[in-house]
Amino acid sequence: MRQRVAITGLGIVSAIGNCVNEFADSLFAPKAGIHPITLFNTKGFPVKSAAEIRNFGPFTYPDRKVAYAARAITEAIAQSFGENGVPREKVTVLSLGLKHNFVSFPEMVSANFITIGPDECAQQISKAAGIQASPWIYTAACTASTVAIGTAARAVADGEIDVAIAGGTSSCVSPEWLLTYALMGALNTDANCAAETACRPFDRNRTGMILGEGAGFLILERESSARARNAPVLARICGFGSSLDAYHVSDPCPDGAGALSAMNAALKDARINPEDLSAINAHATGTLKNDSAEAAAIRRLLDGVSHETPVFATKPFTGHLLAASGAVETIAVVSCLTQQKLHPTLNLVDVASDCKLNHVLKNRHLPLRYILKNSFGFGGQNACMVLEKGDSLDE
Amino acid sequence: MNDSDLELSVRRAVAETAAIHVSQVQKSQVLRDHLGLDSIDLMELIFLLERQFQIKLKRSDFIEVLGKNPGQATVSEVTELVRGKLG
Repeated sequence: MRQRVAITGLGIVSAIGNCVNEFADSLFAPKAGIHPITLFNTKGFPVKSAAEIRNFGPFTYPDRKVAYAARAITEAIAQSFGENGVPREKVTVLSLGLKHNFVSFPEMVSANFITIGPDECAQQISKAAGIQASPWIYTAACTASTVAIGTAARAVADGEIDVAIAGGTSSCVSPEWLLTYALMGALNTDANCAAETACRPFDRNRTGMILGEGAGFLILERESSARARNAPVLARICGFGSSLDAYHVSDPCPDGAGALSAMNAALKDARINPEDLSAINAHATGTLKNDSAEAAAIRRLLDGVSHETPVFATKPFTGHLLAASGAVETIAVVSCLTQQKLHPTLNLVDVASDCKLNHVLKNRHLPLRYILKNSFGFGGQNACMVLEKGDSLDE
Repeated sequence: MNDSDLELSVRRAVAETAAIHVSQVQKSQVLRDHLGLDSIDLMELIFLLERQFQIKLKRSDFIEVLGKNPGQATVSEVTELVRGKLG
């Protein structure tokens, strides 16, 4: 990336907080947001737990992800630009990570769980948030919002656009979506497992992921522009890389080759080396195959460099937000950078033999400069970003 | 800062890192073997000491001054290392 890209605003709706301050407080409490499902009756249903949004208020849009996105975008813009919003003269893009619908027949969808497609979604989100920005839409499975943020950051760095409102939104806690993922064998369907401990990335007893819902958005602009208007530089995006395994429709390549390629590309883009990383925020879904492949990829990245780089995961707090997971977890990373503290990987009690890394098991006060954010998705899609702490924390 | 204040401050930092009470931290204890500090604990301890005493402390300081890795140092040796940095 050529010019430095500043993050000047954050907005979030998640199971552990409907604003950034509440979200960060929960990360470091630490307090998970995974509970028994309340959105529908789960009697006889194979999945019992999810990370649902609580205390959101009435929905004015039938698809919840539209309301989540609008709320998060409004928070991010307010933090960055105040109540007047993004100035009209700025060339602004809404860079969205969204999910295609598996369920394409309306008659199959429960009335309470309407899901609209990416095109219509962008229009509804813009209208609800009161913004007029060019929509860039990415549907790259669970890397979608990381790709949305990373490509937008590049466009900002290159001077192609002035401001990016970048992130993702998801509302897949519904019978149709949960059943789809359960049938694929990706979800934790252990009826005897307590909700709070159901998501256990890297643990020997992990049995699958837990779905979550919510939205996360960031305001990106050139650092020079941010400084000129005295906007907060919360952190910087200094590298982005992506790759494709081309291995299997859902499974990652077991040796982590594709993931490693994306991580290396992000580091190269940031012009740093693996030993410069203060920590790695893992994708870490809690599935057998993802965690094993990701751990293998991270070990290969750090091989011969450092086996002490801390690795931590956010999904035990928020569940897996699929297309929105990268954005929400990027906000977790920014929270860590601003507070110079890593949150723990909850529920990691017995590290699996194929997941040996330097895991963060409790809050850690550490000098944090660069954190690598991993996102990996079905089809072997990989996207990684390097984030750097903001200037206010420079030594 | 007198010697006893310095020693207590270092023991408090070790106790915070190890998530135990300061009374459980003794001068002769080895960070890794007796107090169970792992590699991230040691990174955190160094960071805490740097912030608390406004000093620069590196892993290589342990090797150069004490002739051992941070995990092999005793609480007393860490205190001496900090004292040396404070000049």
